[in-house]
Order: sequence, then structure tokens, then C-alpha cells
Amino acid sequence: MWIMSAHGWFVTAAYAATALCIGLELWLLQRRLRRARTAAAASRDGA
Amino acid sequence: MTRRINWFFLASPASFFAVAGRLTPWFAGASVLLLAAGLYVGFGIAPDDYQQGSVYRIIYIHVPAAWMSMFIYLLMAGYGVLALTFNTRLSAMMVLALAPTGAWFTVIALITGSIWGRPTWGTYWVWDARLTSELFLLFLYLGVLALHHAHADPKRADRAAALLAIVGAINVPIIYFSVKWWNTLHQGASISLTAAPKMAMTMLTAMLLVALAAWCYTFAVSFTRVRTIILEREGRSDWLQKKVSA
Repeated sequence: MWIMSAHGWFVTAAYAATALCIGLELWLLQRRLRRARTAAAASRDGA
Repeated sequence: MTRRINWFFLASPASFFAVAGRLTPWFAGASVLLLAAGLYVGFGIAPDDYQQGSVYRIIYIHVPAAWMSMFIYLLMAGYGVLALTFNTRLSAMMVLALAPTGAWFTVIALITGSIWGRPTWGTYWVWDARLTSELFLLFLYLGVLALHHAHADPKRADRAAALLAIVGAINVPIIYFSVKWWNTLHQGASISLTAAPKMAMTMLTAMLLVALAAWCYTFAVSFTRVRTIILEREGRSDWLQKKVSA
């Protein structure tokens, strides 16, 4: 199977690195969104 | 009496917040579907390359990521011009919403290009014009974000970030034409608007599908990020308080 070949590892590494980058971006974004929503709700409750 | 179109309707954070919220799921769904289709064509239908074998398949992420890194920078610079010219709050927010996504695409282009370079060129990195100018693009993206965080006053921060975004836009044509202007290890353009593509149709189709997926992903993520920025900056405003309570 080509993925087990030497070149297959390079392709796998490239796609894995991409998935990691996208995953990291989405994780950071959802964390920021959650904090912003919490802060907005807190300012509503504190008002 | 003629009806006037309010061209600045979407320039208001309140209007854009609602529109962006409705559009985001559609762009996210389209991105997933297009990516699946592109990878299916790229791995299931497109053949091996006669020179590179299967390692060329990194092209399906490397090239779309590189395209997006440049397109997003130009978009960011465009919003920078709007922010400085019209002083619209949303334009400044869009600069900050686009910068992280553009930076991530630049990182992906650099990493996948480096991994691709090892088996094909025999090296992970060379300081040729294309690679160096793409690395400089990453520094510009990080610079826009760092410059914004360095200012305590939000208005000054927005202006500084917009200015750097505009000035740095000169790097984008340098990246694009670098393979023509200098002797580079990086190959020249395989796709041009004025000439026939130099790659097989199946490979091109897969690459274009993934590029479209990257566009849809960019819209979905940037809309989500700009909504986050609106929540952070305008969290105490009446219209947002009503939305949060609803």
C-alpha cells in the first residue's frame, strides 16, 4: 500500500500537520468565543 | 419616489453580527463537503505522477494554502484601507478577524512545502525568493497581530494594524512573481489565467475543489471571529445585551 512507502509517510505527515493547524485554530477560536459570550452575559447580569 | 439602497447596511456591527451568524453554518458545511470531494478526486481518481509518484499529492493542500495566504492578506489590506478611509468600526474588526486565519494558512503552506521539499529537492528549506517571501508574509501577519496588541488604546491599535496590513501588501506580488523574477528552486506557476494548465485535469479538479473548500472555511472562521470581536468590544451595548438575553 503506497501510504506505507517512504513517500506515503511524507504525505501522511503533511496532512497530519495541516489537520493539527486547523484543529488548533478552531480550538483557540472556540475558546475565545466562549470567553466573549461569558463576559457579555456577565455584563448583562451585572447591569 | 426612488428607493435608496443603503450600501453601508452591512458596515454596522449590529447588522453584520446577525448576517454573519446566519451564513457561517452554510459556509462551514460547504467547506466540509468540498474538502471531501476534493480529497476523493485527489486520492481516489487522480493517478500517480510519473516523476514524483504519490508524494505530489501534498499539492492538494500546499497550493490552496499558499493561495489563501496571499488572498487573505490582500483582503485584510483592503479592509485596512476601508478602516483608515471611512473609519468604520467593522473594517478594523475584519482586519483582526482575517489575520489569524491568513497566518495559519501561511504556516500550513510553509510546513507542507517543507515536507514536500525533502523527498523532491533533497532539502526541507532553501532561502530562495519564493520560500523567503512567503516566510516574510508570515512575519507580516504576526506583526499585524502583535502591533495591535502592543497598543492599549483600541483606536490607535486598529490604525496601526491597518497601516501595517496595507504597507505589507507589496509582498504579495513579490511572492507571486518571485519565480519569474529570480532563479528559484521552487517551480514556476502551473496554472495561469491566460494559458492552459500544465497539470492533468483530475489533479487540477481536486486542487480547485480543495481551494474552494479553503475559501468557504475562511468565510466561516472569519465570520465567527469577527462575531467574537464584536462581542468583546460591544458587549455592553443595548442591541447586544438584548441578543444575549434572547
